[in-house]
Amino acid sequence: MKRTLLILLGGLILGGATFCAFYAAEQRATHALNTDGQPELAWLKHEFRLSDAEFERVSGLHEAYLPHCMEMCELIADKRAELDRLLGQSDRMTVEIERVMEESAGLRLRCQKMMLQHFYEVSQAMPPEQGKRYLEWVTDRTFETGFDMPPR
Amino acid sequence: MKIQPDDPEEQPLRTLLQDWRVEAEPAPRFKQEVWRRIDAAESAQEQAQVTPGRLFIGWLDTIFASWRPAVAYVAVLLLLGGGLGLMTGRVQTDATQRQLANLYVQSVDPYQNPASDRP
Repeated sequence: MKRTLLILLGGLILGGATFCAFYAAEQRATHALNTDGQPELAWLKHEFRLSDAEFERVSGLHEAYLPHCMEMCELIADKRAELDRLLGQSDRMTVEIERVMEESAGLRLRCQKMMLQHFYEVSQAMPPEQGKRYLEWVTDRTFETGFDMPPR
Repeated sequence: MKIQPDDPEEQPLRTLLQDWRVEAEPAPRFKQEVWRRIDAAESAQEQAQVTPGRLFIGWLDTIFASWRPAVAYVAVLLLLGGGLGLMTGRVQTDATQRQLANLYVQSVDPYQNPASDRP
């Protein structure tokens, strides 16, 4: 009986250890991304297989783009707040509401042009195949709503 | 009845008792028969204590008497453990990759950035 229990227990322990080893091995790369200072850029490097030099160029472009993106975020937030206020005050279409909606649409167009410009620059800093793949992926994720209302 | 050592009337009895010798032979295989009965009594006691768990362990004892089933058992657990570990890790990795991809998109699209959605 001792021998049987030893075999049963030993098998379970070995099986458990194998589970942990394979799980840890699979997680190793992802863990490295997560613990990076900028995990989204670390992910980009990993996903599009960038070399260190390519990654440095892409990071530089990303850092230069961020202030414009934050500025746009502020403008969008202000415009949304303004529209929400006007919609809350009226039960019909007004000239003010129309104006703010047109300004929102104009803002969205500016934003999309700015984004696309950045995406082109980033894709050109990558190897051609990866750049093409990046462009397809990022435009799909950002332009998929087309001319619909911006997602909240 | 207690024999009084100094009672002269009991002297014949004393003599008789001292001279008495047992000459009977034990039955053939007497010792073996005694041990057989002891073993049978112990087995009967064990049988009364049999539980499904003991039966199962007993069955496993039979299976693992040879090394081949033991090796097969350990091999199956190793394969299962490795396969499950890989699968679970893969699922977790995919979820993390999706989260990081979303994080990147939020960093470049103002409309998906939480900063543009002030309450």
